[in-house]
Amino acid sequence: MSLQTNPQPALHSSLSSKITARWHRFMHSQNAGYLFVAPSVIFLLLFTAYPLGRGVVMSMTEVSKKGVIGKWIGFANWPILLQDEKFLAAVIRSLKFSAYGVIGALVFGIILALLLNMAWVSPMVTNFLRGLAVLPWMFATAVAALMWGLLLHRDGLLNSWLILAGTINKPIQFVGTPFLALFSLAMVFVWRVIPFIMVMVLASLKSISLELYEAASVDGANKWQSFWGITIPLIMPLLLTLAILTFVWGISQFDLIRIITGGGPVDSTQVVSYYIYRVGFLTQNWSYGATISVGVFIVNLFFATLYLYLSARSKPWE
Amino acid sequence: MKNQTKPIPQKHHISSWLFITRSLSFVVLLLTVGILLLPILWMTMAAFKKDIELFATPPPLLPPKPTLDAFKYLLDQPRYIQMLGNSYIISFSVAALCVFLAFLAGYGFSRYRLRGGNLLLLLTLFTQMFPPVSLIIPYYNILNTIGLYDTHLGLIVADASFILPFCIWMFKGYLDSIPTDLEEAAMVDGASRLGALWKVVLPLTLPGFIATAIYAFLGAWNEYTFAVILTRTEVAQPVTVGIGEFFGLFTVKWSQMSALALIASLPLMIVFVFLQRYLVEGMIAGAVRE
Repeated sequence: MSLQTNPQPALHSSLSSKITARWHRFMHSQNAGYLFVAPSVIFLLLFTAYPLGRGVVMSMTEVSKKGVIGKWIGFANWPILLQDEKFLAAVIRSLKFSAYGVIGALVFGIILALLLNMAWVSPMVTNFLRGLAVLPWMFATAVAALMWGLLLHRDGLLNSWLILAGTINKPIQFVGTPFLALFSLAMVFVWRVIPFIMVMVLASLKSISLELYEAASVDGANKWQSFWGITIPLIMPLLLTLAILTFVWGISQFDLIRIITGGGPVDSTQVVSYYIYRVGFLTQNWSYGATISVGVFIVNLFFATLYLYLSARSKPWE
Repeated sequence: MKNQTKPIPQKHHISSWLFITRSLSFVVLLLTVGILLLPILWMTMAAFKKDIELFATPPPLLPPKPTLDAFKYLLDQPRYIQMLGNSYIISFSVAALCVFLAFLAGYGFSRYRLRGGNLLLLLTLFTQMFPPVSLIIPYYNILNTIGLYDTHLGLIVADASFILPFCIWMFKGYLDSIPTDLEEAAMVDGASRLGALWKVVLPLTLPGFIATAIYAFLGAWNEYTFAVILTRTEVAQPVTVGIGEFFGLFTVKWSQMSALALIASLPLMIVFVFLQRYLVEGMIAGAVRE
């Protein structure tokens, strides 16, 4: 059989056929897996792990304004960082922003998922609406910033409607007032994350067996009771995972702030990620900027570990 | 109807209550989706309006006199056309690179038991949780040192390093759902491993390819943080930077900016209309972690 499929076996040198045989044996062995994985691993080592290491080195050395790495200074930046009031204020702003984000996105995302999961509405209608509701998630942050810039403008749509409705008589400066700006930005963030939460929660809701609800209703439970007794406990692990993910995304937000407020007014939206940018790129204090980056990285590492631990425990779609 | 209510008043009470809650919740559903879409519709309208109409009280919802002035303004600015071109170059490259690397890695993780494989997969997930900002300082430093600052290649590599991990998960999710019997049958019939990969696995994974490619393309297309920091001129700047730049101008040109944003949203409109199903299913496949 093999002789027939290989028409000129005699012409092949024994060496090349040996190599081919070895190659085939290798490809069928478990070790071939490393060959498939290697390109990605090398890529990530070069372009994620190496920059990360370089960042740690930069935080522990003197770096000139031009970015040349110099004398070793060890942990000298850390005491400064922990006493830096601007940094601590930025951390608190980041936490606030993320908290607004998690609460807003989860509450509205879950409500939307529940509404889209209503069994009596035809699937054609809900699929169509779900499709539309995914849209905010797909636009670029820069475009989202523009959309909301238009809406929240002093003479924008939101203010005109509020004035027409008689709710307010003077336009609100949504992004121009220090105590409102961070909240307004969080609103934009929530708008972008709702679709993601909705898609995930909806997938999880659809996986819950209807028999559970039938059994509960046979036992005399009403809708409200089966919601709190069946739905919520079953999607809880997923909700926890989504909450952590949203929280970490919130801490990472940079684009929105850079575009809409640039950290202002009066530093009221200067969150940690913006502070890194400011220290690094606006004052060229690279070493200190790298130190803040490492600090943020460590905090996110903690949440990432928590996230992985929780998502390893919960397999929401099984 | 009235005759029926008298003997069973309670049942009628319940069903009318049900009717009210149902229609109420449907109205709430429509309203919520409407509110989610409002910013998008408003921006779309803005591209066809004049700035004065945009901020008039009461604001006209539809442009009273639709105008293409904003689009004409952009056509006269080669800078923005070039930025759009950059966005296409960067996004297609990132998508190609990520799909190629992620397919191989996904196959490796799905079909072989690798020592340390689970740890590697977890580590790739970790990178999903980094804020890109925590890498911008070293990235800027490295690209400056090797001369890739303000180039397409520098930005492609930076974008891909953040997009690749989730692509690997997406492919692994897809490949896990394809039974190995088919490729094993092909190999028994004499196909080599790579032959089976090419002829059997690849066609079956097509939806996965589409989903991953869209995810990577849109990720790079929408990226802003790396773009604004690792590029400086329109030689390499993608269009998101151009949109953000409008905000910095002394007087914001709202309608021109909306027009640019609308043009810049074309790829995702195409995805939205034709390919959304793949993307959503693919992202769920990637998110199902075992």
